[in-house]
Amino acid sequence: MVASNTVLGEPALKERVRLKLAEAFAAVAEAERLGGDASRLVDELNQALILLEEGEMRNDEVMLQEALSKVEDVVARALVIRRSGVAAMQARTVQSLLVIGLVAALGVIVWHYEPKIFWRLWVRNKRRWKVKA
Amino acid sequence: MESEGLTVDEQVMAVVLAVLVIVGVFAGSQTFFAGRVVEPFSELGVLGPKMKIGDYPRELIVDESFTLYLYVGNHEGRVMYYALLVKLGNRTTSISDEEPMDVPVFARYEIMLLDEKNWTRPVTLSVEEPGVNYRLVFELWTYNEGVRDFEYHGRWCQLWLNVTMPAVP
Repeated sequence: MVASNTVLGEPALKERVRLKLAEAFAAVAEAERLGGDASRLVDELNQALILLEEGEMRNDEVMLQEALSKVEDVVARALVIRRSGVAAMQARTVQSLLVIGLVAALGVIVWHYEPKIFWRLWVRNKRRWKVKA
Repeated sequence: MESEGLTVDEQVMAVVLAVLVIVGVFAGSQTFFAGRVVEPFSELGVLGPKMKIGDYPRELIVDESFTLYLYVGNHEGRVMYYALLVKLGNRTTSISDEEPMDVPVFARYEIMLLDEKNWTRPVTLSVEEPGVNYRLVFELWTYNEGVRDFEYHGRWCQLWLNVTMPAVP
């Protein structure tokens, strides 16, 4: 049985790319878990996977080297995405707390003033009504 | 104005409070469950040469190339790193949702997918040895960051193939 992507290539470099890919994936997954936008990083890792596959198939060290530098670049950028994700998550937490506080404050305000306002409006609305016995 | 022990003011307040509680619980639950995946899963599919379910090759000649499309979908709620392993077994080689097929891998394809994304790619394969009831198996493996290796995900597809020698003129 043969496949279109016969596995060949320089083992040491190939292995380095694979190890770096695993490291990059872990970094990207962590950045995403913390709320960072990892879509571009994932795209670039997929490009690196294509380069790795073609580099292996053609036994092309230049392609493997290009894949490695792409993956190393993703590892470095994942840290930035992770930090922005943490900041975004903190912002969302503050936002959630503000919403909860706002709802609670609205509840208190409604509790205190709503009946008065409601009946004032009701009376104003119905003041021309006449009652028949 | 009184009705069954409650003043109208109290009745209005009770209704308003009830509405507030319902809205509060709904908003809270939406916030709490936002982004949670109830039942995470991954999809694996093999499509025929016309990129549809069907027209799969069944009878082949030795070394005859055929094209299939592999499909993987991610609904795990997080980014996933998949490896698709292609193996060739026969009627006696076993595979299950728990155990992968214990034969050498002859083709491997890898992809990383964000949540709710899918991937379809063509693959061209051929069989070198004649035989009947070959099982061409596609297994889905996922990378586990904890163990730093790929693990069998329990998803697999198979095609049954008969491969014959070319006719002698």
